[in-house]
Formats: sequence, C-alpha cells, structure tokens
Amino acid sequence: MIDKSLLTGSTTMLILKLLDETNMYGYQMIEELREKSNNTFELKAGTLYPLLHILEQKKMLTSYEETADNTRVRKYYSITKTGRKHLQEKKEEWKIYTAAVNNLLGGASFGTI
Amino acid sequence: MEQSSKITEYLEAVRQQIRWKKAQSPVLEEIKNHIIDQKNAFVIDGLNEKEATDKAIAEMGDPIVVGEQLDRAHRPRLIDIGTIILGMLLVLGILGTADMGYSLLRIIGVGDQMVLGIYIPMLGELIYLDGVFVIISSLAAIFAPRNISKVVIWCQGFILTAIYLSEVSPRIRFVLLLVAVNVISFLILYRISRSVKVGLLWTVTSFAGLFLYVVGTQINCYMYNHGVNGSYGGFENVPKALVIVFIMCLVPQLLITALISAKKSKEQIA
Repeated sequence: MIDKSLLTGSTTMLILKLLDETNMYGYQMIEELREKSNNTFELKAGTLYPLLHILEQKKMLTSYEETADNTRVRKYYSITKTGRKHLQEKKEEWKIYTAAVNNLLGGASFGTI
Repeated sequence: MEQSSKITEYLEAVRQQIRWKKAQSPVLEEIKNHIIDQKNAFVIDGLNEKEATDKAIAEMGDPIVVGEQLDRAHRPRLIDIGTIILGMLLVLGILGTADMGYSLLRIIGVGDQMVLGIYIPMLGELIYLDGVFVIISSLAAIFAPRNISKVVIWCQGFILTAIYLSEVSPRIRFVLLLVAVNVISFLILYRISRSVKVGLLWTVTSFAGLFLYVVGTQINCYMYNHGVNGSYGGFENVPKALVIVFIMCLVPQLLITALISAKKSKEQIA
C-alpha cells in the first residue's frame, strides 16, 4: 500500500529534523536542505511531496494552509508528537550506524546531527 | 500566457497518474505552487520568464514518475473500504430480519430476555443506524475532501442519534426533534466554518441519512410482509414520510440561510 523504501531512508529523518525547528512549506524545505548541507542534499520535489504526504498520513506531520502573496495558498507542514518521537528513534539509529561505519574505517567515532 | 500553459500541461500529465480523484486537486495545487516558487527564484537569479519556467519544470522531473509516486502515496485506505463492508453487513443483516433484528438479538440473549436489550432499548434499530453511519462516514472519508468529510461525519452522527432518541422515546416528537437537531447543527457548522455552503451540506447529508432510513424501514417492512403474510402492504406511508423528511431538512436551513444573507448584506451596508 505504501512504499516502505521512502520511509526507511534518511530523507525522512532530514525532513523531520527541518520541521522540528520551524514549520515550512515544500519548496522551503528543499532550499533549506540545500543550504544547510552545502549543496550535498539535492532533494527532488518528486521525492519530497509523496514522502510528506505519507508522513502526514502516518500522523508524523500535520499541515495547514496559509495565503501568501494575496492569492496563492501555501501548504505548511508542522511536526507532531509522533513525528518527534520517530525523529528521536531515527537519530539513535543513525548514531549507531555512523559509529559502526567509522569504527570499521578506523576513524574516530562521532555521530553527527 | 504560454509559460502558464506549460505549467498546466505538466500538471495535467501528473494528474493523469493519480488515480484517486479526491487526492488530485490539493496535490496539484501544491506542485503548482512549487513550480511557481522555483520559477520566481530563477527569475531573481537573472533568467527570463521563459527560461525560468522551463528550468523550473525540468527541475521537477518526469511528470509520469512524479505522478506515479504521488499516486502511490494516495490510495483509499483499506480501513475505509473495510468499514464500508462492515456497515453493509450490519445494515443488510438487520434488514433481512423480520423485525429490525429484534428476534435475532433475542436468540443471542438468554431465553426470552435479551442480555444487551435489557440495557439498550431498540438495539436492532441502533445497530441498523450504526451501520448506516459507518457506510456514510466511510464513503465521505474516501470521496469527499477532508474538511467536508469531517462535516458529513458529524452531521450523520447528529442525525442518526436524533433518530435513535426519537425511536426510544416516542414522547419526543420525531419531527420536532429532527428540526431542532437540523437547526442546531446548521448553526454549529456555520459558526465553525463561517460558510453557508458547509452549513447547507448538512441539509444534503441529513436528507440522505433520513432517506436511507425510510428506504431501509420499507425494505424491512416489505420483506416481513412478503415473507410472513404473503402481501405487499406497508408502502402507503412512504410518500408522506419522504415529503416530511424533505420539508424538515430543507425549510429550517433555507430560512437560516436567508437570515444570514440578510444580516450579511446589512453588515456590508453598515
């Protein structure tokens, strides 16, 4: 029913992290992500919106509409309690994963994000 | 002009991939906004309108792929389809009995006394009404836009509770009670939504609910009469009932709508 591969990726974590800071609309998320990652993460709109909609269905996000430039209605997303909990879990997983990779590579073990 | 038609073309290609009609327009609105934002950003970067539009559309990626991914994210949920089936089973199960399920429930109970029936009056009708509620709410959840489906579900809840209460206590006059419920619900919905349209939606849903109820009781009546007495009697009250239901649902709302619009035009003058 729902494409699980979209959810398992780290993109979910990045989106939740962005929305943990402030409410945003889709285009803004892509821009923020690009800036914050020094152009490393070029998130495609075609990936972002289906993912946002799935996360909304899973009640990790909620959305509301706000009028911008007088005429256009923008859809803003905000993170829910379930979303925050999921973000926390993802962060933990990520730390374990990166620590393991770093360990294997013989570098210092540090978790980012 | 040509630029906006390019965007429309792109959106149309995406739309064709999204099979669930209900999801289409909000999703496309969002995609459209995204393209416009992207285009505006490119214009600020120094591109002309045409280049900016082309590039913004190219950035979105293949409309077929985007549409397919969105289609995958928007499917009627299985749980909604499941609840429709459950509702139909309840309704048909009760309708198929001679007396709105009363005898059936008696069998489930101990001897002649229904266990649940002792505590819950008119249990058969209640189950039938729950079935109707479940069917209509699921249909609303699948097909109506979200803000409207919520309204429909609330309305159905009110109206079916009212029917049940008036069945349990015949002293409450059925018509009066429903008119009261109609008016109160209309006002509540109008207050919440500030839109007469949403309020009038109640008219339609309450009419649909009552209509189904009348039809349901008549099917039950027909089955019973046919099965037990071999006759087809019992329909003589149908036209009268439908007329009453129609008036009940329509008159209060139209009056209030007239009042509201009169008040609004007054405010505008002031």
